Amino acid sequence: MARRKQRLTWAEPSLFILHSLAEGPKHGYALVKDIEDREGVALGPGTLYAALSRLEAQGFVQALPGDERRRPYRITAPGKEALEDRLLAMTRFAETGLARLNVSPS
Amino acid sequence: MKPPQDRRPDAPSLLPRRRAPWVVRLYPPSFRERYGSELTALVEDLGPNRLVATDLLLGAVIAWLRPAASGQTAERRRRRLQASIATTWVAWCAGFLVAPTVTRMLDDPPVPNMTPLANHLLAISQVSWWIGGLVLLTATVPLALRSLPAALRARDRHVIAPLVPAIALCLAELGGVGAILLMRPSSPPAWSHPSAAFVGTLFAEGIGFFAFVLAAGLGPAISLTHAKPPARHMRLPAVLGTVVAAALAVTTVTSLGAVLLTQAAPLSILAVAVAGVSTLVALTSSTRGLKAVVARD
Repeated sequence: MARRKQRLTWAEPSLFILHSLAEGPKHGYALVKDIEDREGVALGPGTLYAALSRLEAQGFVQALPGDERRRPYRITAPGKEALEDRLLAMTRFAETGLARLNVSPS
Repeated sequence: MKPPQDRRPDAPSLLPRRRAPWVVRLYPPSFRERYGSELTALVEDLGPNRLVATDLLLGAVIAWLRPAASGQTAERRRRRLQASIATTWVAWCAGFLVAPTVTRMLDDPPVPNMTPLANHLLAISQVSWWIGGLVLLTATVPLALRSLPAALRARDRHVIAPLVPAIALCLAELGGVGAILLMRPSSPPAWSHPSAAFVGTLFAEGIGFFAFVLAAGLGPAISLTHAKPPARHMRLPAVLGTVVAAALAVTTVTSLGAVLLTQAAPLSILAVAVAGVSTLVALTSSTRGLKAVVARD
């Protein structure tokens, strides 16, 4: 079976971060609170910055000028593309699964 | 969104606030340079507690194993080589005691169910232990000779200070060995044996030895990350790091085989378990270093 290498996996913190940044630039604390409020997932600071460092290295997010202690990040064009790919794949997965269960999305 | 102005006094502040930056210091220097201020500010905003501290500790381990690779390609490769060498060194120091520990437990005196195969495995374990140790010295001594003189001339305390505890503990250990030799059964003959002084010195020597291994494992790795040697100085040590990791793997596997064959004491199993984790870390990190050596821009 062919195995595709995904740029984002299904449940990693990077996905939550890109999802949150798609709304607009945010610094670390705003990211943690937004993800906690919307998704109910509490990202720890170590997890958040490990993911942010990987996303920045991949060119998916970019740090904006600002206070050194609360630097905001924005999603880049490649980041938007990776997020879109992942969300579309998740949508297809959800649609197929719901159809197999004979559940119509409301 | 603005961070909270109040510090949430009702939050479970199980980790004292002043200790949060200390945890952040466990991150690699390159990570701290880039994200340290933001990370500290976020910890202050969230309110430090044990969950946050645990998350930071795990994050620090990940940051050492997979360093932040932002920046230019050449700098990313240099950081990768540096992280691989430092991690392989730490892993060796954590795991190298497996061979002497298992040999001591199984062969001095020989356990009743010792088999010829277990003896062969112990012999292989010791040979690969020596090979790993010699290759490690071959890899790291030239790197130290290239990096340390400049740091000493510049009096760069960030490079020199992490080495001081290991040097001091090494001297203390040598002094302790001398004291034990002086207090052995035949010297002085008037003392009853084992005397309280002898037992006390032996105990202190054991504690000191583990402190020395800890300092010798972490000190040079921290010193290396502060020294920031150029990539060309680290290519050969990174390649040799894979040999060291392979030697540690052989040592661990053969030691495990001997322990299983002889159904040895729990201490041997503990030593093999520690060596097993160290081996996985060394193999993972050194393989990444090797990829950085052969990668093209």
